[in-house]
Amino acid sequence: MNLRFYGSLLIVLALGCQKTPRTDTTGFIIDGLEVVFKRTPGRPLVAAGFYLRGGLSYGNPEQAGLEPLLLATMMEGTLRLDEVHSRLDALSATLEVVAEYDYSGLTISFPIDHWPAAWELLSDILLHPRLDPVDLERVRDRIISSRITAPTGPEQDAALNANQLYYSRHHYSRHPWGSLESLSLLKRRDLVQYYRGDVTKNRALLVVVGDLDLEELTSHIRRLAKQLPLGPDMLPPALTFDPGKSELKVSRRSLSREHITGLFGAPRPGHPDFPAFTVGLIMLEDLLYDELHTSRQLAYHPMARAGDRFFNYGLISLSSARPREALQVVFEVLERLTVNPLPVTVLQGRIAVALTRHHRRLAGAAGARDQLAHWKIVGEKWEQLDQFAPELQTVRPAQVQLVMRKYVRNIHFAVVGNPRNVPRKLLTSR
Amino acid sequence: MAVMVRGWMLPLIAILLCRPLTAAEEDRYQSTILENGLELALLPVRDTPVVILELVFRYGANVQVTGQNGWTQLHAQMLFRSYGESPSQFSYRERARELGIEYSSLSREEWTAVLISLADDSLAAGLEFLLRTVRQPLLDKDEIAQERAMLLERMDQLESATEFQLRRAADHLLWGSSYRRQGRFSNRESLDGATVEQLRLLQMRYIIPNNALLIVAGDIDREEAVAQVEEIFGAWERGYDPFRTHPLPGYIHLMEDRDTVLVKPVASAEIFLTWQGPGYLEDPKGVSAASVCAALLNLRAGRFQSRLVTNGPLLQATASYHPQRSIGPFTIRATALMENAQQAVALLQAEIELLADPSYFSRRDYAHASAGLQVQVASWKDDIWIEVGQMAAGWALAGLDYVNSYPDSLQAVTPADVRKCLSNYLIGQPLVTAVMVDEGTGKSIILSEVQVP
Repeated sequence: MNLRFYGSLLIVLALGCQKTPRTDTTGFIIDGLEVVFKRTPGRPLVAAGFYLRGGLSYGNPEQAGLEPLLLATMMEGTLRLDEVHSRLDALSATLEVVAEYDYSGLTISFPIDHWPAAWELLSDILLHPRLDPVDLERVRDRIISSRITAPTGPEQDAALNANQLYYSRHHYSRHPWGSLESLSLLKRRDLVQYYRGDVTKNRALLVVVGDLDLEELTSHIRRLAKQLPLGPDMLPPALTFDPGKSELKVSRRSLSREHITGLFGAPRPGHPDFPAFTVGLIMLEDLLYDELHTSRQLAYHPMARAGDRFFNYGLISLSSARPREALQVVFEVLERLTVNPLPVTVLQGRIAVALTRHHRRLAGAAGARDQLAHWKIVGEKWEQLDQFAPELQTVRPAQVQLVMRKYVRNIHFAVVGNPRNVPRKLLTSR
Repeated sequence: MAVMVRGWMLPLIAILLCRPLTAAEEDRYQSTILENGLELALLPVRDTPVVILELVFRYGANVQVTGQNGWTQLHAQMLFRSYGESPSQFSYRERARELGIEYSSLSREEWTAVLISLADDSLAAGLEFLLRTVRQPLLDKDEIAQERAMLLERMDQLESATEFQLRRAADHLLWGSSYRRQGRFSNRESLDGATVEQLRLLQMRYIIPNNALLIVAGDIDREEAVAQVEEIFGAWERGYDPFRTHPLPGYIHLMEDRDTVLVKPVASAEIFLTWQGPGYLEDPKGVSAASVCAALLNLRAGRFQSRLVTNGPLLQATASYHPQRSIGPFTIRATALMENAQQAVALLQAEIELLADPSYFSRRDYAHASAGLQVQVASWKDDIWIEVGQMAAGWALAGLDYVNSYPDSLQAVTPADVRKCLSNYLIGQPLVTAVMVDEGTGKSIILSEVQVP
């Protein structure tokens, strides 16, 4: 008996000494509301997000921007609590609206000491918004000035133009925060109607990251879920999007250099091609930097990046005073990357960089929350986020070249600058 | 004679060579000083399988004299171009790629930092790479010319953004002829004047271990990390204290209000109010008080936001304080509808005078601002990359003891400290007002100086 007792004790002690995982993610549905919860033992902050799926594909295009405007107005006060602002101050909480191409949401971050008071505040905002007309006007003005009419530089203009060109046959061509016209026309009754009919639990995703007791969290979520209405089933997103052949848009502006952005297709997060594509773009950016910055001083910081949408895009951007030469080099580099053999040793370093960037995005409670929401909605399964690191490590040179050939074509370029300096034929050649 | 060091020897070397590690914040990080004066901070974080190495030096735009604007930025960029065994940027970048290293440099007003991150099993290789990067840059003439061209390219990009133009206009007025020591970019002619010899002078004077902090963060073993740092950085020779041999001159104080209006094609009015706030060397308590002042003004339910934003003409207003050793700028940045621009500026300036009322901030406000700042510190610690950056900036300002005591120093700020800070640096003190409006508003707005591009 004693022997068995001490034997069990030793096993328990030995298990206790093992390096246990510091985090634990789980997904479940409570009363029709889908939840992803990541437990972070010992961490002092909690980050939560209430997301509505659909983004620009959902709702009436003439009311573009309604959902983020509604969420931002909801933050200003509830029917029960006049003083949402003072409660946020008291709870040291940060409450923000996110408006993405595939979803919108309300996110909150707060110290764990203020659990569950901060949660109750978020629930009250979601369930009993005041939607005061004065609040609406102030929020509308703020969104228009900060998101719609805020001055943009030529680099941003080139990126916006390229987005509109590439997605000209898709709802992504619109701005997630709406337009001056659409926002100006929205009335309080539009917000009330949308709130009643479209803020529904079957559209919603709740993500919580923090050192919380699962059982206690579940009981709080259940109270919220019971009061959220159930709407009609969400339509599955269309399976394909065809941007068409290469196109070019040049916006004339008198500048010392041309600002160029090109968009092309890309796998979305969670797609089997995504790891190899991620590594491929790191290699592409490296090569562009070598040639354009280091070797020929044609561009300061050429970029190659992947987007984060369901119908995803890859991007090349640069600014150059000698755009003809620079773009010639860009196309040569693309050719080289997809044709010349890639040594495995070279690839390993890029994979390490991809892993570092991946871990950086996941850092902190808010980072983990944002990534879980993103991979769940855009990639459909949050579990794919956990698989991404091991998948990156198995990427091989042939996969990189295959995906680069598959996706980096039909590039849609937008240029801001002098049209005379633009090599039109070259830019529509791939 | 080369000495082979085997893995099992490393803990022994650590014990023999190092001063005892000083634990800080319940073992959150540990620090020590090597024989050559290099300060070392270790920040183990087990759940992030990467290593972050940041080496920060106490020199930035503040050491630039007339005609040197942008040189420290150029020098920082040059560190990542080449070193002895990797004599070109191609070979340098190739070595970084082999090691899977991501690198960046940042040169601010009072410090310059180089940062690399890599996989957690490559600490020694990363340390070697970092040391060679900062210690043996070739500073080749042709490479300098290339990097200068690229910095000018970057300057063009920055100058095309209207927000940059407004900030630069405000900074020029705030710092006067000291601007070269605050602004990283202002003068393209001065970049043309940077020579190999002058960059080598910067290198020799400031890139020395006794002017640096090395932060090793991520999935590391403390003893092993200390031993490896000793092994790799221990032979780096100490230099003369650059601030004894070349003491920094003081800044020119702002003596009167200044203002400017930038006319640009913008839809809403952007407003900058900025003051010369406290500096750590002369007023360390004022530095903490200024951070609390900014937090008080940013309270969403506080009087300032309620009167000016929730129930006033501003669309938003954010106060910020940038702590520095000499003078730290205190800034309020606001946005208003174009038709409210004049009223917004007048109300903002008038509201500053109201801060003199001792009852302007309630006891509850102080409690909320203080708690909010503690949570801000906690949020930095929740993200290892942010924590490393904050530690570097805090060390450059006042040393690791300051970093360690920062949360306590904020909590110790009293209402009397805040009132003193407000009266010493904001209320009735020389103020720079910079406004960016559209052409129609620019013609009617009443500020003394109008600058039309």
